[in-house]
Amino acid sequence: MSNIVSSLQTLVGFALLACVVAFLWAPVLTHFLYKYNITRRNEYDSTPTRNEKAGTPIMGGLLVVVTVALVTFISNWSRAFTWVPVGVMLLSAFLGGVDDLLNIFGAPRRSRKVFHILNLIKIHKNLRTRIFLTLTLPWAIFKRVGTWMGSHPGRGMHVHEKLIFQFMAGGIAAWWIYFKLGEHWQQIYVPFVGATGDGFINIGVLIIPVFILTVMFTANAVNIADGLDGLAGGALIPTFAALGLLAWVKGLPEIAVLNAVTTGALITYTYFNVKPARFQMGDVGSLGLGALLGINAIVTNQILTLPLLAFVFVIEALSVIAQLMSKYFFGRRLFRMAPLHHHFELLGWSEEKIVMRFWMLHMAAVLAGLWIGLH
Amino acid sequence: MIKELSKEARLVLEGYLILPLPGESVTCPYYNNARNHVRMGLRAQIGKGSPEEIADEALLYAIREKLDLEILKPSMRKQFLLDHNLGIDCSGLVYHILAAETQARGLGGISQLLKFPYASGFWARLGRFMRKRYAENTDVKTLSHKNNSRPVSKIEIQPGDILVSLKNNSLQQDHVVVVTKVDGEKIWVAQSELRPKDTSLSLGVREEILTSLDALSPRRMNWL
Repeated sequence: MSNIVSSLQTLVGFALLACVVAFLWAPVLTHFLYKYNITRRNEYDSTPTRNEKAGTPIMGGLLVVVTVALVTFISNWSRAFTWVPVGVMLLSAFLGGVDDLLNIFGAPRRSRKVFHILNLIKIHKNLRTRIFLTLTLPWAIFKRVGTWMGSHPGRGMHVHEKLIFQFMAGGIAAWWIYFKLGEHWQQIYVPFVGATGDGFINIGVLIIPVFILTVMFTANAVNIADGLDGLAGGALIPTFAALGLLAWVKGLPEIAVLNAVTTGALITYTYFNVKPARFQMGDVGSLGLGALLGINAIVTNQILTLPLLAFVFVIEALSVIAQLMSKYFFGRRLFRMAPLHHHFELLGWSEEKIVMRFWMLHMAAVLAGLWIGLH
Repeated sequence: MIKELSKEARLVLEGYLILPLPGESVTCPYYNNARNHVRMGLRAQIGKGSPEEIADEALLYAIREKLDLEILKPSMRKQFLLDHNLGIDCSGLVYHILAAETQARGLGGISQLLKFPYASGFWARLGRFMRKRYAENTDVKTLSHKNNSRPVSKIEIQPGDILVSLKNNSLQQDHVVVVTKVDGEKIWVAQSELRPKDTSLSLGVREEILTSLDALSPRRMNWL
């Protein structure tokens, strides 16, 4: 009993430590972001409330990413457990950071239509250009398909570039789990089956694409949900707290501590991020924390409960997919605007109302996920 | 005896004549996707949307561009719609009016009644497979195909009948109008059309008395 209390005390202690560390350097970060004018610009494809946020610092997600990396590196650095989750988080955060900076300081980027390129291949006066365009045509098609999935290309990274980076991050996670953590991790835990069977199903090597897709999905899902002040940060708190608890119950103390540290840093971040936000997460935070969420769900073997543990993020990502499908296949909008929070904004809901209701729904879903995950 | 379209079909037509937008009334402009060749787009933006879809899309653009449509003059609002490829083409208008008319007459959905002999491309077939892209696959040739229409004499004309003109050369263009009201010799028709010499306010959907077929359009047409 005293062991249980002691390990719980450790978890809570780490969460508190991260909370305090983040709080201490938050003013430094804010000063840095203002000093270098890393602030939100007006966007083309946006809602009025989002445009009101022009001038607010972005890349506030650094507060969580750096705090988690720092605290883990100093006090929870385990080759077997925390290297890769933190590494993948940092890789995704780097990608997000580049995107944030390009969005602010980069030049507008274009994406040629495939038919335009085909025409240029036929009519361009320079033979070398024609050969170059012919050889790079498959890449151009891939790039164009990527733009169908994204909104206005703008100045930042294009969808296809993000997907490649996220694929790499997911690939590293899958490689680590499949080849380094042993056979036990190549199975998916099925809740409730434990009573009758061993609770695991083995899908063999197929687990690798499952891992990759999970990390890619969660990274993008958090990125998509990060559209209103406090929404993503506040929703991530119960998610990481639940994952920490599940990791602790399953005997994974390093992962439990990692989740506790993330939860603590997120509490401080959300304090500064609620409306009116002192700073916003930016892609650096949303992509990094999204990847960390995916990998932690995999390590704690909660892929099947992930739709509940990451409820708001899954719903937001699905709303974007459904909107695109509806637009392309049915020619009609399913929502006034995707992701889902913008739909409610355009219906006239206040930002606070949307965020609070999403938080509450999310917490209820996380409780359900936790309950199922414990079986 | 006056014969008219059903109340439901009339409501659809009135939706195009007075788009459900805030402020002074504005008619739906003419927009044909043939120039832009947008594929898999919103049907409101390829000339096939319902009045509500067109108005909703206009309001969304207005919100994004921080524009108050209500205070704009009708001509500016119409220009705003045209700038965002919002409008209806002739077959789109006829499709939506006939869809409401067939429903009102208890004939079922127009998508089940129409045949699509010309929609044979991949996306068209996919659209038909998804059973939702009917308005987009309906053009003048489809409406006038022998599987969908039969010729009638002038004295047999009823509200809901269509008058079709198919082009003979590249200078002409296909066109279709729908009969909305018949009072003895007088015939009222509704159409969506772009007349090059029109002012920006008069182009688009209109309802008028049919004086002669040539008067329907200044372009040389091959009326069937």
